Amino acid sequence: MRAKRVLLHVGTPKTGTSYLQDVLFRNRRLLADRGILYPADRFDAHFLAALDLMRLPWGGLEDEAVGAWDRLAEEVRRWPGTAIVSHEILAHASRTEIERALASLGDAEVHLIVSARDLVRQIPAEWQENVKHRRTIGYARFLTAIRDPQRRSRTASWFWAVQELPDILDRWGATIPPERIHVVTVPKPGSAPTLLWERFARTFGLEGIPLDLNVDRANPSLGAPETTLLRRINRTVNGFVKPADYRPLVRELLAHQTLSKRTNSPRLGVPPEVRTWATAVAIGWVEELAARGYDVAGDLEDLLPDESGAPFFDPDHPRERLVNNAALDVIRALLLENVRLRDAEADLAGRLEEAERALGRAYLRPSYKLREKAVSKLEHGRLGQGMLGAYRRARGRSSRSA
Amino acid sequence: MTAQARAWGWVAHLTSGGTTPWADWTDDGSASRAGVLPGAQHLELLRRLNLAGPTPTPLVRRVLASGAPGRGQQELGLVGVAEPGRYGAPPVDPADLPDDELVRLASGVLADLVVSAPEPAPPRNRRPRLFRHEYRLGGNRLTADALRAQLIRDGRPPGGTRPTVVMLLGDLGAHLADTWAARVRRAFAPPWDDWIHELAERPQLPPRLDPVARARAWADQVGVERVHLALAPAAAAEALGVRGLTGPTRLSHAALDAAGHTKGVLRVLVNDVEREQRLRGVLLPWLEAGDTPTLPAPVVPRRHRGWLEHEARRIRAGLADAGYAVHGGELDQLLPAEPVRTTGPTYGEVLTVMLRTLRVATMEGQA
Repeated sequence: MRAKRVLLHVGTPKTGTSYLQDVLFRNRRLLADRGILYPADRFDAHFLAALDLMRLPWGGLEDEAVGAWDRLAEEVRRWPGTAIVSHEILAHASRTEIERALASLGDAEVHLIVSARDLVRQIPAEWQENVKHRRTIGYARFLTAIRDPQRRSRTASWFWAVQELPDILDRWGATIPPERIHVVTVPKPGSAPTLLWERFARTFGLEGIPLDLNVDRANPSLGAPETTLLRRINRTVNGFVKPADYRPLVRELLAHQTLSKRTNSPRLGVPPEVRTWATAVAIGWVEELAARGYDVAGDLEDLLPDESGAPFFDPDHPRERLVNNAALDVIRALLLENVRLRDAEADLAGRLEEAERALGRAYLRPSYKLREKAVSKLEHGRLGQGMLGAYRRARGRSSRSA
Repeated sequence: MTAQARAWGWVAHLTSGGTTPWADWTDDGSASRAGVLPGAQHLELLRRLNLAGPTPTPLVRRVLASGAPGRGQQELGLVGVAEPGRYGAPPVDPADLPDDELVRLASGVLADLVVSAPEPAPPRNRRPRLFRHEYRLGGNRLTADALRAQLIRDGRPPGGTRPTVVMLLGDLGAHLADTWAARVRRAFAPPWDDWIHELAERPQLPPRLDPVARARAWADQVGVERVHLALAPAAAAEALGVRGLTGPTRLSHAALDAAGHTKGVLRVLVNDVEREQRLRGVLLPWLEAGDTPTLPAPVVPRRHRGWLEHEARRIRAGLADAGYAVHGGELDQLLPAEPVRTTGPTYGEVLTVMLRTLRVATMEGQA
């Protein structure tokens, strides 16, 4: 009999997690045949479970998260083999929430998995995620907030909760032996594109399974001017665009489908003094993780930032020409979307008109007038109402049998 | 004595009703035990609860076991106990914690209590009377909801083909505050400042909130002579020919904010139908009992006073021109009075209401 195991992947954000989760979701039937459960009836099931576990508001999506963790945990407990739970925001969980989560998984052997990327790449990525979640904080303010030793602001407390590797592993791994704790490192820029997946596959025991890896859900990055533009858009529309509209229109259409395609613009980075500070922090983390004796898929050296010769493009003071070019792409995308909606509207109007004409023809039939008069008369008497009820019940039955 | 032992001594002191701040705590270390210390936020919340008398044991357990919902700092270590300079947020003196962090934790505890409370009983309404006045209530939504509920309980549901329409009106600032409060009581509502700012940005109130537009819409349906303006609940009773109607219980702005924070957590705990039931049947009665009477209702911020006065004058003129019957005073009562205070509640005031409400919930045997 196979050992009952849970592979619990709790972060960190921006480490290829969206791709991994989409592969797992799309291949969940094949995985189940191989004894591996990915318990999800929708692609964001584990995200909702994480919201539920941590009682996190998320622009109204939390309404869909009621009871999601308990349902997921129940499926895991019932499964006799290996189960995978994966969401990067789980890194934010507090000790109390982690205790609840681990207790809910039953008696399975829990393996903790954390995927990690070097801090110098994570800092701008986290700011960009903030902007993609309709925040308007400037980059300089963001950098100041995360360097505040007290971490009092919401920005700082979130950033460190989901990025500080030794702390995440302390919180989640307090009761898990080090040999069951796995760190997957994101390869350095320029590595083979499949290398990260190979590390995930090894850690999750997916090697040799013919998975369909051609998935399209990812969380693509934006360039510096594109992020600036998005922040300006947030400032302009936040007052009247509801979260339920923001997600498809701004985050998906503008950010993911339009602005992320502009790959030739300058990438986000960090200013030199932040690079120096972040590198020192990363060196401390790597030494700490090496001493703890975790299983590492990849190389802890991947977490040390490279010396960068690329100039720093300040998104708070961008070259306006680049932002304007990005804005033109946004206008184009919005126009195309409008054209699509106008076509859809015209199509619906045509169908409605057709339906109204059909209805009009039905009203014009002489028998309709007679039937209408009969029903009207019958409805005014108790006997008539009874007859009508009997007729409607009989009609219902014959409709069903037909 | 180790720092850990001192901390466990403080935990024992707090769980038995103590109120000594961490900085002043000295101890012989006899309460020392193994395990992970509760977070500084949890301990400080407990200490604040104890300031009003020892906290009942079930509530103590809930506070210590509850995770703080939403975004913010996780369980913080106690200064002098947790090793500074390692990982995670630095340890703190609990007395220095900002009130908003304690509000966040308190909202989680309160939401848990609301969910675990017995299901609220549905209202017991008398069967509709055979001969009753046809009526509809409009205007101030908070007052209209309260009066309608009393009338339904008395067997007088609203409706009818040619109803008497009673528009409940008053000081426009208070009228808007009540409209927002009614939204908070029902379901989602943006923060007061955002909501009122969004209204004040418009040239005039939107039709759904504009008494002139609402009265005109009713007059078009039932005739001007059937539309009555009531400037007090008793005046509404007079217009409807009934007795004994009383106005709504108003919550302070701090209590309404406390409701908003708690509702945010309830969104993740129960579905929308149950949320509304528990909001009306459990949380709001608790907040009414836990509210501080001296705290003010929402007031229109000073920067929007000019807009408010302009709107009040426009509405007074529009209603006067239409010639509706007025009960309970003069239309001048629509003009806003000068408020005592024009700023919203502090987190400290919201926390005060929440601490009192947690006690109310516990006293009712729900903890």
